[in-house]
Amino acid sequence: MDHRQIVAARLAAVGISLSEQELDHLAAAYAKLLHWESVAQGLIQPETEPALIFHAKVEG
Amino acid sequence: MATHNSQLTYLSLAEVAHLIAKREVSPLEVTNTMLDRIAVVEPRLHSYYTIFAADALVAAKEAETQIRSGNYKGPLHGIPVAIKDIYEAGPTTGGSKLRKDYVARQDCTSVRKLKQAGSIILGKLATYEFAAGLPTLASYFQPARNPWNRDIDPGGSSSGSGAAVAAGLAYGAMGSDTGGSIRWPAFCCGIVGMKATYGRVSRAGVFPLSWNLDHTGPMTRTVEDCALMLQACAGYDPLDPASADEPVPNFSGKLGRDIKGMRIGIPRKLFMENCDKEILASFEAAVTQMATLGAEMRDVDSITFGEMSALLWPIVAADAAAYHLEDMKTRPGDYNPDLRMILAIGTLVSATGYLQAQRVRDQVRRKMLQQLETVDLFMMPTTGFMPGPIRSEPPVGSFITSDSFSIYTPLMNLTGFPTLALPCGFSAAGLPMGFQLAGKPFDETTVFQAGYAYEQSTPWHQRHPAL
Repeated sequence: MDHRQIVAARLAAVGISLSEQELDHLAAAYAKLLHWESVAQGLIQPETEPALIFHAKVEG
Repeated sequence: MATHNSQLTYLSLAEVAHLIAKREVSPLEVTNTMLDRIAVVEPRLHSYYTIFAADALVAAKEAETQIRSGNYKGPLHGIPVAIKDIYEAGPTTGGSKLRKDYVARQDCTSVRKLKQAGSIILGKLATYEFAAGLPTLASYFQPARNPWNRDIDPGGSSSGSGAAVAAGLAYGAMGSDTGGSIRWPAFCCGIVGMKATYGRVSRAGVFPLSWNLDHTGPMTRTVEDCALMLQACAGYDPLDPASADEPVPNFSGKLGRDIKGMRIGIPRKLFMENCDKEILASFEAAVTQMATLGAEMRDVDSITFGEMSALLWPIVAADAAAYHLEDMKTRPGDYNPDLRMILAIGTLVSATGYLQAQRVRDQVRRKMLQQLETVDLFMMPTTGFMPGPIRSEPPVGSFITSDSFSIYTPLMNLTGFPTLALPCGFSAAGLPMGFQLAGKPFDETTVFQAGYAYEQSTPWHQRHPAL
């Protein structure tokens, strides 16, 4: 599915209906959203996770 | 001594409070001055949705009686202020057709506190729709105009608060700030705004945008006024689950102290990529001025603008969508196109994407808390772009996904640190520019100290728009 189809399906799933033009705009916004998610993913530092901190401190 | 009305207009809140305390002017005279000026200026500014003229005069007479009988409550007593129209108090529209007829049954905590301090509530102020959606000339509620140039956006979402205070239509106003909605209009309108520490000022009875990031706070023409107004509305409130049970200090306690040796960090990575040259030049001049006053200026590491945006907007949009979901299903056409787009984007944020943003947000906050062990404050431009003309049509998509919306305020919504926005010059086109100072959690007092030192050494707060 392309972004426009994903957007239409996701909105339909939560019961929101928008115009065709708005769906076009949202497809572009969805690409931005995916970019933001990848940026956030890339910033995560494992040492902030309790499980990894535990292994690092306890197991060395 | 009776002070002529026009002389009162652009006095600071503190100056008027001083005159009232000495009984040189009365609350009624001050309130009438504001109402007269509103009647003349407001038709060109659209900063108010509702004006409580009758109630304000009753409250002013009551304040006058109290003060005459020796019951002076303090610097807010008899001072006319106004409230962003997302705070529940009388008619409360949120700037939206959806709530156009809604009338609050009771005052929200902040309004109640301001009234207890003796403030006169003049009315309710224009806002971007539900503190987010960009209004246009086609919107149900007319957008507020910038008093420095009425064709230009006053910034938002506390657009009416910025415009009214800058135009001398109130001595202070309450705004709200989820990604910069106090500080951006403060920049655009040439005034001062304080986004206090997350949890410092109650949000009970204020329409939410993002429960995680919403802050409320005052907007005024001077730093001292901002400290006085924050004093009246700060404090623990069990009605706000995020309210902090922290002692409330005297926010004016360090005003007038020098800033020699104060360590101020500049997170240049945040704004160097996309800050307008004119804004950057005014910011660098402010940095030089802070150094002249004795502060030790140094660069500090930070996330970039792109990284900040990647953390902020998914959280804001998803939180907002959660609040508005039922109305989005049943009456989406009643939202302005811009907010409708933001809310739709919010429904597309994945659970994992939302949680990753929250995880990184916590990392950023911890890192900046560590930095605050080696610096006392952070200093940065408020925004990297000058406001544009008020739109006749909404932007394609939404402003939040636009690369040109280079605003640097959200970093301190993500951290929750107290942050003051204040003016630092004017563009060649005559529009105000400004910067931000952020400090340690619950140390607004030091932020005010530094802001006041800068303000008092520069002339910007003495300029007012010609209206």
